[in-house]
Amino acid sequence: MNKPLPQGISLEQFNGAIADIIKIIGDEFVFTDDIKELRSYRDPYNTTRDEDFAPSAAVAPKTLEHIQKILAVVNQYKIPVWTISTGKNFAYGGAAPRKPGYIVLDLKRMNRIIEVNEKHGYAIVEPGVSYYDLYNYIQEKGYKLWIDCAAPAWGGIVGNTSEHGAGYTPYGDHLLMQCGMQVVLADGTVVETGMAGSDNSKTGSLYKYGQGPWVDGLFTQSNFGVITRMGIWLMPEPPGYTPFMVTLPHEQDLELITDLAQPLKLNMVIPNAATTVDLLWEAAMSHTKAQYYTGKGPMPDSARKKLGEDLGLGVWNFYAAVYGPPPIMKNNMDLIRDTFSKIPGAEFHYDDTRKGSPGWDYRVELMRGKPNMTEFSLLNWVGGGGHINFSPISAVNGKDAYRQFDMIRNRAHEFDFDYIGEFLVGWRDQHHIFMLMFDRMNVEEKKRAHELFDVLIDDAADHGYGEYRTHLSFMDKIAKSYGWNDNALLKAQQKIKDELDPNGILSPGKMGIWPKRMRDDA
Amino acid sequence: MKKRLITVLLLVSSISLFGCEQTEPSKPVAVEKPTPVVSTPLVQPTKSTARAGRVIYDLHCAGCHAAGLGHAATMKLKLARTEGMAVLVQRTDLTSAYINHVVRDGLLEMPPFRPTDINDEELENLSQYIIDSGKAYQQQEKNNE
Repeated sequence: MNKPLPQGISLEQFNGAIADIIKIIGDEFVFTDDIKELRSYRDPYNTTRDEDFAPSAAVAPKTLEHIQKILAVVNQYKIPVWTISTGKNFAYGGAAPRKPGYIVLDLKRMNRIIEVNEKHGYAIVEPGVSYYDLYNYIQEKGYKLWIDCAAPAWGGIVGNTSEHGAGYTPYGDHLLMQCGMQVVLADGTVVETGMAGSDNSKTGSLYKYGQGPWVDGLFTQSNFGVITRMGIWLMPEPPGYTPFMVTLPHEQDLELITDLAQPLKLNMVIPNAATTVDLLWEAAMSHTKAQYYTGKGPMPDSARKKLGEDLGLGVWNFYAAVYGPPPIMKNNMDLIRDTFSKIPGAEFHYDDTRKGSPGWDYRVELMRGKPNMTEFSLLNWVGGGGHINFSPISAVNGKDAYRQFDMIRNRAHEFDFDYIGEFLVGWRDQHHIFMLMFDRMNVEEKKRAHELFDVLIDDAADHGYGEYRTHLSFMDKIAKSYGWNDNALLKAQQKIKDELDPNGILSPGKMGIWPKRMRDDA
Repeated sequence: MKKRLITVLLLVSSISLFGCEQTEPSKPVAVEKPTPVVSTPLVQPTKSTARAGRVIYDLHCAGCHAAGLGHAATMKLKLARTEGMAVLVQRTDLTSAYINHVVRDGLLEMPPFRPTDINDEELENLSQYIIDSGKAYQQQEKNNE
């Protein structure tokens, strides 16, 4: 295989840039061997060819100054860098860059926990800090604070928050809980946002907005700068916690539970990011498909029925929790029980009967911010581990939720895949995650998964639904699906890109935002 | 100290309230003291300037490979191989070369790990920790017979 190189860059130029970067950070942290070192910077679960997203190198700075110097080098050569932090970003492209040949700027070594403030409930962390790291640090220090982690929990605070990720406690909307960041611009300028923009600020992690436009959002899911530090609010440990699950026997119950959960969420009777999870997702925490069905295509209803009965699961399973002093928990649980008991066949489940079941145990941990890896069991469902997430946003509205489910399920079955999904219920929206699982060693299956995903984007757009995040392969298509007024939004993003990064070195193509010099080829 | 006392009192009142007054208890899970996500070592950590094998194992492997339910790789290995092959730190068939290869390349469901997650020296420590733990476990089993 030829060495992947950045577009328009010769091997000589590339070697020159690498030599310059080695002078900055040492050769121990510059990785150029395609076989021994760079395979881990590709996306093991993509739906196309490995080489579509193969980097030319990965470099791992330790300090802010390293980043500034590296950016000066790549500005000189006009070589794109693709910024990653810690965690895996699987289902959305892993560590791999949007085009072959980019240099991955791996911030894993910047892993300092700068501050954890117990009184005011926040942490300031660098991009290399994982959920495990922060959780363990808080336990060691004995702080009465919870983190809110994604699942699987090897993710990182900066990476997940800047990708608009979500968790499961009352602090589940991660970007909402972000406060202040430090960013390096393409020209090496370091910017502190919000209150920390003033000298000797004491409130950088307490008030998000400072004075003037709030710019933090510009640096998330984008390529306008390199985030090197972030403030994140942490929930005080509550005096009580009651997780619960409601199992629902019918497919149509999705509509009922969504409509009944909506006012409970909006009024914060249910304070956390709740989930409505389908049967197969739940079953995959302890079983594989082959244990119940070895035929081709999606699992038939007869096998699904047996699976649900054996594991005591519903066709849908709603998870949430209440927190706080016991009288508040009791009040809220009474209201919740009264509300959901209106659904015929709905059953409540608690820790006394479900403890020990992997599907229950990991949700109980996630809803109190304890990191774990159980959700990775989804990769066992069909075997071979391939997966890509189709993630449209829905209103917390029964008809919309059911329409999205029905649309995706029908298409998935048409393409011979299972529907495996969950709705993450926020205050006013739901992240609907369809986990498209395939065997990554099966070329035909990968191709079919890719085709299904492509069709789903069109289907969703036709119904007025947009996706919140996507895989490298589909960033351009989804950016274009936000097409109102002749793609005015994308055009505005491109104007900002050209102004902040005139050489187009930072993560070109991220979320469909290309720099001027690469726009025509994209 | 005062704050801790209040927390304890609230927990105590929680028990009495849910135990006596509720007709349909909602089964609260007490906020127990959380423990760090680490396993109990069977062997002492490798002496090295890099992070010890056990530290790497706890951070990067145990989530999927630890014994018990809820661990994706343990579940898969049990089904695809045998119960005796399910838990990495209980096996004696793994070699350093094989572990290095799988960590760097990935294997089916398992993704590859970057050199910034686990550097080469740490990977050696990790391999040694897994191999030593396997031997220690088997010895312990033999002693228990």
